[in-house]
Amino acid sequence: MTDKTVLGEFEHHVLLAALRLGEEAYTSTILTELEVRTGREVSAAAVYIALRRLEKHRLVRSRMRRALEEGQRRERRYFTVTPPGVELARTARRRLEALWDGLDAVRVGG
Amino acid sequence: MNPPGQATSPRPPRLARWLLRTLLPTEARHLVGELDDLHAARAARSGRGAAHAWYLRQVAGCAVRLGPRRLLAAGAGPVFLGRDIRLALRACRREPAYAAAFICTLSLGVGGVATVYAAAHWVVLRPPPGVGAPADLVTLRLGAVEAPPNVTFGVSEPDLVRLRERLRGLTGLAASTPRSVNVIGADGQPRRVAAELVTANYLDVLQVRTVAGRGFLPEEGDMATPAAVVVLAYDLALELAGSVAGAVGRTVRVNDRPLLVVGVAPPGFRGAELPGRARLWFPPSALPAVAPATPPDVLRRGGEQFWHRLVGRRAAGVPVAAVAAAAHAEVELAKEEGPYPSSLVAGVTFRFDVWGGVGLDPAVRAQARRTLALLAGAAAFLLLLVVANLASLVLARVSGRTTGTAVRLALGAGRGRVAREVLVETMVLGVLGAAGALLLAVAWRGWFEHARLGGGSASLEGMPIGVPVVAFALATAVLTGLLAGIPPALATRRAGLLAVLRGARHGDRAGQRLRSLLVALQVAVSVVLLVGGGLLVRTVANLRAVELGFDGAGIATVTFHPEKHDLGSAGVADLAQRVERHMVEHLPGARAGVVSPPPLQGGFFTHGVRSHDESANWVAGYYVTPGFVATLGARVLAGTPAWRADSGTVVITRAVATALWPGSPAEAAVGRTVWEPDHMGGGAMRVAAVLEDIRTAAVTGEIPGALFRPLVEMGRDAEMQVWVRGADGPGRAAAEVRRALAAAAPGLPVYDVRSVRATAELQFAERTVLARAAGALAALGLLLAAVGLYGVMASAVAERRREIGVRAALGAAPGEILGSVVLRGLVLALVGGVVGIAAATVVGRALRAQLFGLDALDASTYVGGMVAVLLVAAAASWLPARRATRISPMEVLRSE
Repeated sequence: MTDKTVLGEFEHHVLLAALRLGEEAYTSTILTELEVRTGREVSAAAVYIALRRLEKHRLVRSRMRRALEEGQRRERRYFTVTPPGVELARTARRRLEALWDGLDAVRVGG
Repeated sequence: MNPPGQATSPRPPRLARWLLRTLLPTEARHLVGELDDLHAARAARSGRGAAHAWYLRQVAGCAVRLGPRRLLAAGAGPVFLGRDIRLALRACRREPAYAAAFICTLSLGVGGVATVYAAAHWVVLRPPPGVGAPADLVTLRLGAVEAPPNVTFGVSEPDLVRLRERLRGLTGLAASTPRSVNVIGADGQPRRVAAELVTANYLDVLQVRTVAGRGFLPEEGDMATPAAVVVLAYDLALELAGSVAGAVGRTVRVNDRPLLVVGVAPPGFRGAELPGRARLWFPPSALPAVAPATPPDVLRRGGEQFWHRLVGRRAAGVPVAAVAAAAHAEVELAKEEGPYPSSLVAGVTFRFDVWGGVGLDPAVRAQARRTLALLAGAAAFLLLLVVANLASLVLARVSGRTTGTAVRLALGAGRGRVAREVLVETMVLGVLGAAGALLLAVAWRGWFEHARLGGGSASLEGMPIGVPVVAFALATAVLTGLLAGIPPALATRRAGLLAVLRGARHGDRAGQRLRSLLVALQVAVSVVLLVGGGLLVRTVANLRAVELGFDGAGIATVTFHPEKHDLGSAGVADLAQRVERHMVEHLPGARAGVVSPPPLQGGFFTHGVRSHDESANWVAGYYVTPGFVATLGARVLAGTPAWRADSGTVVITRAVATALWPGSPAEAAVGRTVWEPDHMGGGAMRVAAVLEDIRTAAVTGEIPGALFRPLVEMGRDAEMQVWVRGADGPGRAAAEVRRALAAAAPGLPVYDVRSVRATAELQFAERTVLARAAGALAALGLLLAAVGLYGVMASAVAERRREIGVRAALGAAPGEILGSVVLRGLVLALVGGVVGIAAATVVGRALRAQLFGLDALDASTYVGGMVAVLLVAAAASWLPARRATRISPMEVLRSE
């Protein structure tokens, strides 16, 4: 189990991006996913640090894998979201929804 | 690799990529490849420039966010470091000999450098203590176009008042004149204390805040209202009264008169000179008490050269150059506005030298700085030698541990971690070395303490080993340790794991090569130090050998200053003659005389003398008692050898005679008449004798003419020096002078007790210090190089044990083996020595200004340095070579 009960905003984003990417989640794909979805430039170092922190709290798991792509050998750290990670993502969503509840006017305006 | 035909995807900027690789912790290195891919994708989408810019932003992000982690992992983190320090200390305990060798070497090197730094800090780097906002001060000194740059003139009080009014860029202008005084100490014994006669606003202009009591009041600037007040230096107050607060309100006996202490200066304040010597300050109102012979109207005399040092405080925004221009204009104005009686108008063309700040005059400071720069250069060379020596020491130890290191690597220790351990260990030893260095600096400080730099003006007395020096020593030692650790640390990183486990000694051979290189470097540096030190030592020997024209070693000198109110000018001359008579009567077989001012100390009356129709020639003038010329013992060219100093007669040297009557032989001057210049009274004097040229002023350079006049004609009191030939050493002479004075003028201290030769040697005391320090550094360098060479040869012999054993088994004679080892050491030394000689020629040229009586490329010094190095090298390799001859072939073959 994890001792972490609250996700920071960026950690939340990274966790969701990793969930979306599934088997193909590693730093650069997560970074691209975040940039595409949020429209903001993201620092690779920030993503890396967030992933290591999530891993420390056992919200994600990682393993090194070597892949042969376009004739080049690439060594990457692949991340998988663990069940506690999925659970904490759900909790975070519920908290957000509770906060958004009743703010319809704002929601439409945004 | 990209398949042929496909366009090469753009690569990120190479330097940025390298930086990224360096910055990232090992576990995040995969980001390099990932960012490569992203960069390529971005370049395809938005162009190369945008991709590069994005990449640079990413690298910056990694530097900020991951860089500190990398440093932490590299050993800068307190947690890792703490463990490494413990490991390092444990390693030192296990190998005390290694640690001791490291610390001693480092202490010797850094100790030398720290001592030089302490001296430099004391003379040129520190701000003058006790003075507020020294940068706003400006010093004015009156010189003359015709006089040498070190000759200065005084300014009269009326001129000072005028300058105060006219120099509008100054908020205050103060003046001082150095006046040593006799003070009765707490023990009742008289002593000579450096003092300053100062204007009433002196302490205010310098913004010196008294720590007890007050400064001087404006009315105390006037001699007409006598007020015998004095401000004491902090340490003198402690010495005389026991406490600072207790000193105020007490009286001290100055020149045998009671003076009221009104204030105590802050600690360290020594006047506007740096390093200053004054410990007591008094205003003109105290002058009647301190120097009763002073004419009461001296401050009103327009032509009197009264104030010798002028210091002003600039108003905000006024540059030094503006003050200089105004002062110069004032000199011109004084000339035009005559017949105003002004000290700025005389037979010479005056000019003000003006410089910003207080303290040493720039020429003196520059001279001191040059000396210190030379010492710093020597110290830097020594430090280089120390680095090379330590690197080679650590390298030997690391290669001794190759197998251990390989095993640790095999067990999973990171290479970075092993290298880091080496670096932390050398740094820890560096800190310990710094402690040793500071102890040595404190011990060596004594060497410099009596040294005078800047041609005698800058004293190193009281030089502390304070916080700046401690910080400097610590930084230097740790840095040196770190530098020495780098080559071995790199060697550890390169250590081939497999090769070591397979038993190959490749790493060792590379290490051995590096160590040989380091030893050659050490020999080169040591040759540079030897040649530099040799040139300076020989310079001092040459200076010592300079002929004064008389036997200075046999003459003892004792100095006193008869500042007693009841003497008067006739009384002073009478006192001098009484002392002379006392000496002759009480020291059997001795000759004695009294001279004023003391020769060979830079001071003489710049005495004008002319034959009837010519302009004055300026010669070094001395007032003497009847016995002086006979005591001097210079060769008499013509005239009475036993001149009795009768009034109206004079003794001159050959140079004076030649200058006054060019073309006629010097001997012909006897019986002729010379005149004082008009401003001195224009009196006529008959030449009683002509002496061969003698050095009474400077030991080197052209010999200026000297003129001796009867002391009875001096007409004022001044410092007197008793010269005694045939006394049983200066101590005996001093005891007799004390006895003579005790009867005639009790309470007068005597000082400067030494031989004339020793006084002359003070003139090149700076070069003596330089030579001594450089010689010591050279000896130290040679020792360190020898130790380094010994280490390399010893480990080479250990490594070649098998080969030597086999050669012995094949019938090689012990002599052959010995020869081959010694030869290798000599070749190393020769290579280093040749490089060193080349470097030494550059150093020799830099030293040229300091040399005397020999050339910067003096062949014998260079050859001597080389020979010394080769001899030491032979000795250092002979010991391991002898061990090589004792290798038993049987043992070697059996151990195979």
